[in-house]
Amino acid sequence: MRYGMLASVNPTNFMEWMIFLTRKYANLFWQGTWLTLYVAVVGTILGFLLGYLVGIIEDIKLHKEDSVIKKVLVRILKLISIIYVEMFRDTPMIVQAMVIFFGLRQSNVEIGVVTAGILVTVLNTGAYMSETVRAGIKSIDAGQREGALALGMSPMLAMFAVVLPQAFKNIIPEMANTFLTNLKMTSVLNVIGVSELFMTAKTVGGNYYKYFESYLIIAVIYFVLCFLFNRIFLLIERKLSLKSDYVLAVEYMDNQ
Amino acid sequence: MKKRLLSVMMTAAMTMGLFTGCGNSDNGEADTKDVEIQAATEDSSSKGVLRVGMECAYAPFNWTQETEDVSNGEKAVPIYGTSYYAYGYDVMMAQKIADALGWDLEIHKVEWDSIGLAMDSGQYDCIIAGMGKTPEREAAYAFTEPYYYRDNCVTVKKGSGLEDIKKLSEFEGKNVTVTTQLGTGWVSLTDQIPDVTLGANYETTAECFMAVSNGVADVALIDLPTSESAAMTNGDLVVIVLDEDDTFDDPTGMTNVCIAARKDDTEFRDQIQSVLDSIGWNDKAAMDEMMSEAIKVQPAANN
Repeated sequence: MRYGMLASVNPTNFMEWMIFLTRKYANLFWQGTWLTLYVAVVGTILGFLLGYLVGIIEDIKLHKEDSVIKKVLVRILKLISIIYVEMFRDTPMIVQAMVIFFGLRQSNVEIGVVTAGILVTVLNTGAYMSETVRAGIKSIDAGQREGALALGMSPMLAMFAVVLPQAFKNIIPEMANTFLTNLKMTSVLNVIGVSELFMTAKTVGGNYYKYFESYLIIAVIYFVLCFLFNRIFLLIERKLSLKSDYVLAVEYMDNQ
Repeated sequence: MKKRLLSVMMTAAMTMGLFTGCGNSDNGEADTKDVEIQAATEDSSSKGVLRVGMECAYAPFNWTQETEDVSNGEKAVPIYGTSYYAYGYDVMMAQKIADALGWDLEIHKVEWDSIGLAMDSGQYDCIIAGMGKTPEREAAYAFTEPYYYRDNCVTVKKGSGLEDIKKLSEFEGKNVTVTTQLGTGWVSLTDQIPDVTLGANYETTAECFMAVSNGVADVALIDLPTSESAAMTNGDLVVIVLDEDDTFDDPTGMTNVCIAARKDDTEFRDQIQSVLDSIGWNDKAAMDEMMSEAIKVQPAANN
C-alpha cells in the first residue's frame, strides 16, 4: 500500500525530489533537527558558563599583600585557562571533534557520540566566550568596581553583584551570535557520527544518490531555525535596552 | 612582560610535549590495546554479539531506512543507538555470519572518514562496508578473503559525446576530467585514462555522480553496483562497462571487497573467515545473485 502510494509520486525535477525526500524521510529530518538544536542549546549554555568562569579567572588581579598560596593558585589557574583558550581558538572544530572523541575512546573512556559532540561544542564555545566575557568586564567603567569595593564589598561580590550584571547586558548580542554560529557548526560533528542535520542529509542523499536536493532541504531548515532565533534575540535585546533607559542612576547623572 | 610571555609559551609547549610523549610511549599503547582486544574477545564470546561498522549511506551495499520492512519480505536490522534500520548487501552478509555463529547482530552507523578509527577505538569489531582490500589498507587492518568481487565501470553524462565509448583507449584525445571517491583504491587507477585531467575527488560516491551530472567532472570511476544505483534515480547518467581486454589494470585489488578487523585481532578475523568458508561464500555467482537482490530492494528502486 505504502509503496504503491509512493510510486505514484515519481519525482522528475529537483523541487519534486525535495518534496518526495522530505515526505519520505520526515522522521529522519525531524530527529536531525532536534539533535542539532539539542547539541547547540546544551553546548552553548554550558559553554557560556565555562566562558564566564575562564573570563573571570583571567580577570582576577593579584596584589602584593596576597598570600603566597593564593598567588600560586591563581597563577596556575590563569596558565591553565591561557593554554585551554589558545588550544581551542587555534584549531578547527572539526579537528577538535575527531581528536577529542577518538582520543577519549582510545584511552578507554566510554563516551557516546552525542555527549562527545556536546563536549566539543562546550569547550569550543567556552574558549571564545571567555574572551568576550573578559572584554565585557573591561567595558564596564572602572569606577563601578571601585565604588563597590569602597562600599566594603569583597572583590568576588563586586564582580557578581555589580560588574557582571552590567557586563552581561553588553555581552548578550555576542552570546546570540555565538549560539547562531554553534547551531550551524554542529554540522561538523557528523565526522564523529552525530546524526544531526548534515549527517541526515548525507544519509538521505546516499539512499537515492540525490545529494543536491537533500542539502537544499537542510539549507531551508537551518535558515528557518537561525532566522527564528535571530528574531527572538533581537526582541530580548530591545527589551533590555528599554530597561536601561529606566535606570535611575543615568537620570541622576544627566541632571548634573 | 616579554619574559613572562616567553615563559608562558615555553610551558605550553612543554605541556603539549608531555601529552604527545604519553601518546607515543610504546608500552602504554601496547598495554591499552591488549586490554581492549581481550575485553572485545571476551565480550563477543560471552555475549555473542557481532558488532559491525558501516556507513548506512552507501546503497546498494548498505543504507538507512525508517522502517523494518524490506520489499522482499526480509527484515532490516536496527542501527545501534537509533530508531532506524539498516539493510543492503553488507547487512545480508553480516546477518549470514551472525546466524552461522549463533550471535546477535549489532550495526553501528559511522562516517567513512572515521570508519577505521572507530573500530580501533573499540566501537565495533569489524567493518563490512563495501571496503576494497588494498595493500595500504592491509598495513592497517586484518582482512578476510573477498565476500564480494565488484567490477569497475565509468559513469558519464548523457549527451556528452562520451556515452558510446567501449574501450579505455578510446578516451585518447578527449581530455576528460575524472573524479572518484576519496580514500579508495580507485584514486590510483584514475591516471590510467589517456589524456586525463585529475579532478577533485569527493568523500562520497553520491558527490562524484553529482559532479558528473553538473559538468564539474566528465567521468566518475566507481564500481558497477553503486553506479547502476545512481543511474536509477539520475536519468542523465550513463554507466559504461569497458571491454575486458581494454580496461583498467587494477593491481591494488580494489575489486576485492573484504571484511576488515583490527590489525592485531587476527583471531577474530580467522573466526569470520572460517564462517565464510563453512557457508561456502567464495562463489561469485552466489555473490552476484545476492547483490542483484540488494539492488532490487534498495530505496532508489522502490520509490
